[in-house]
Amino acid sequence: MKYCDYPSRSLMVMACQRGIQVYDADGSVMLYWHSLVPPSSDEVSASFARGISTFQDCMLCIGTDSGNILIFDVPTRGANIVLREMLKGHTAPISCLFNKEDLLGSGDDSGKVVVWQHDVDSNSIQVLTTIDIQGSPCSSVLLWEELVIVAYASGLIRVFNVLGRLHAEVAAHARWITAMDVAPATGLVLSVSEDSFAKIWQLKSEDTVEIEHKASECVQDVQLCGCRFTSVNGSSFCVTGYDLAEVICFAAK
Amino acid sequence: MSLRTLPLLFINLGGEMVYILDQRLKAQVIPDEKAKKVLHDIVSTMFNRRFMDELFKPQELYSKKGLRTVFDRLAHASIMRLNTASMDKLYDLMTMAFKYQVAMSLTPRDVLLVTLNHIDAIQSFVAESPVISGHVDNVYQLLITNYGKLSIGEFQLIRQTLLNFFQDMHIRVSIFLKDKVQNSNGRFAISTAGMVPYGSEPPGIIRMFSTEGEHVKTASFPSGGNYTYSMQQGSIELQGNRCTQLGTNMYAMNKPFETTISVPAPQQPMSMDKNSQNPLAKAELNLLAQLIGTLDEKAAASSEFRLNLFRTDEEEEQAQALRPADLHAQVIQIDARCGGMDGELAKIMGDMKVVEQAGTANSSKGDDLLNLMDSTQ
Repeated sequence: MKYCDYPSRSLMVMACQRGIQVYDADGSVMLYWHSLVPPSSDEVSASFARGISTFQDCMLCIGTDSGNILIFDVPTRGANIVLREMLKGHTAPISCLFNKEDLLGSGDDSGKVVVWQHDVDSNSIQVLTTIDIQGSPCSSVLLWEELVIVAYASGLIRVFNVLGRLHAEVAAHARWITAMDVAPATGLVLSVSEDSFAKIWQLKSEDTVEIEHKASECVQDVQLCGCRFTSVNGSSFCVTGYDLAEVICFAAK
Repeated sequence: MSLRTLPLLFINLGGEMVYILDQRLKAQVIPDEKAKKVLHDIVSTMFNRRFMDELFKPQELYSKKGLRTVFDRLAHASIMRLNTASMDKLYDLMTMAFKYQVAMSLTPRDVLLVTLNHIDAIQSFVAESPVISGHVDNVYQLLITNYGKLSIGEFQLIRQTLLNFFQDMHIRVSIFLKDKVQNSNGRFAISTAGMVPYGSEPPGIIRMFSTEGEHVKTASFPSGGNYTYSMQQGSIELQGNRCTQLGTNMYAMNKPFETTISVPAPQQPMSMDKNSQNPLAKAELNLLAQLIGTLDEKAAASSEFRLNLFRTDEEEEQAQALRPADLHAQVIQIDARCGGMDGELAKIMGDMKVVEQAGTANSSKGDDLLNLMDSTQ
């Protein structure tokens, strides 16, 4: 589930089994439903949607288990959400999506990452780069400056540039990395994992691209599943965990 | 959520049930012959070929109540009787053990290795009966066929579906508390030391690469834990080394086990949930009911015995008294008359007879059980 913020409105989007639901900002009115299975089918379906992102402040992107990414046009108001195209760059289920300006990063269960670019003039979305390192599912992808940061199920984080060149590789966690976030103003990256650790990294992209470990926090006995910076400069963040009813917040001293 | 989760849930919970019953049968000094009969009857019912074929079809998980009913009936598939307090305790132990195994798996694929550990152990319990042993082999083949080639992503989906099912269950188990595997608040302890998954690297290294792609610099950072490489990948071969202790019999050391509920759970409203509308789930429960049936009464009267999951009869009585009264009324409403039932499955049920060994149940008494399961509210 994700809140998608557009210049004139916010939407609550849920990617579910069998389809996608779009609600208004407080979740009180369902604006749009997209089904992944034919409506006449009563049979059990394994289809699911996973990965939600805005794109260029006017589109909504949702990943699916087939590897396709559904792109919807979102009007400035009203419920007239329309499916405009399907991006076909993956064959494995999509695991994550991330948008920065005119770029969209997508990762899948085979470990492949694709960076898409939206061309405003032709209003078309094309593949900019494919980073195909098989072996471990990609669990999260971020875009910052000219960099693509990818987290894997193996606990590795890799930093590429947008053209696919590998700059750095970090053996970051002992278990599946479940989520990442980036603070755009400072280049701080937050990663959380089922190993119960939340770790902060500093990205540098001036002369050479570097990544440096800044801090680790262990949330005792909790397999962490989600994380978000709660300030633009990355000085505070929150995490969630499996079987945990609380949201745990941290702030820099 | 994954549609392939039910067989793993059923087989692993069944495996834990067999471990616990074996330990209690020994502790209560039940004669060997009776104890063996109980375990053989339960395993042969659990792994009945037709039932397994239905179970392995892609489908959603049963509801918690539905699954509890299945195991209630399974536990009574033989001459053993459990009162409701003991059955509660048995089910709590089974579910917390499997939850622990799923949560602590090094990799999602380890859920399959845990299942194979259970299968290996069940095979050793029924080794004397070639017929039942054949059923267990059949299930091993079904597991390899259905799960042997799944990707990591698909296993993670299965694991997440299982963890979802077990969410918010925090029953404290003394064998876990004693081994410091579970805290007093019911949460499992997550160690920051130990092996990383096979093929992964212990955290603590940053490698930097030049524009030509050469590895030029290595930096290290404190990982916050003490991790080592895994030297071997668990095998799914018939006699393979599973490389994990998860799923093996932790009661084999004869440790005592008690459960306490850590927080009194708010009583859930007993409404029909969506799985009781699922025709496949209902049909399978009916099939299981037919398979179990009830014993020939003469034989049952002489052989029946009561198993106690507590240390003494007094403890069991106290636990029984503490059970909320309305739990007794929780019955799954399964209307076998509904048109949703699969025609093929009805034909299979009509043909079914449990003919494993002389003197065991046949389906003529199954109607009593079906009537029990159809509640009139």
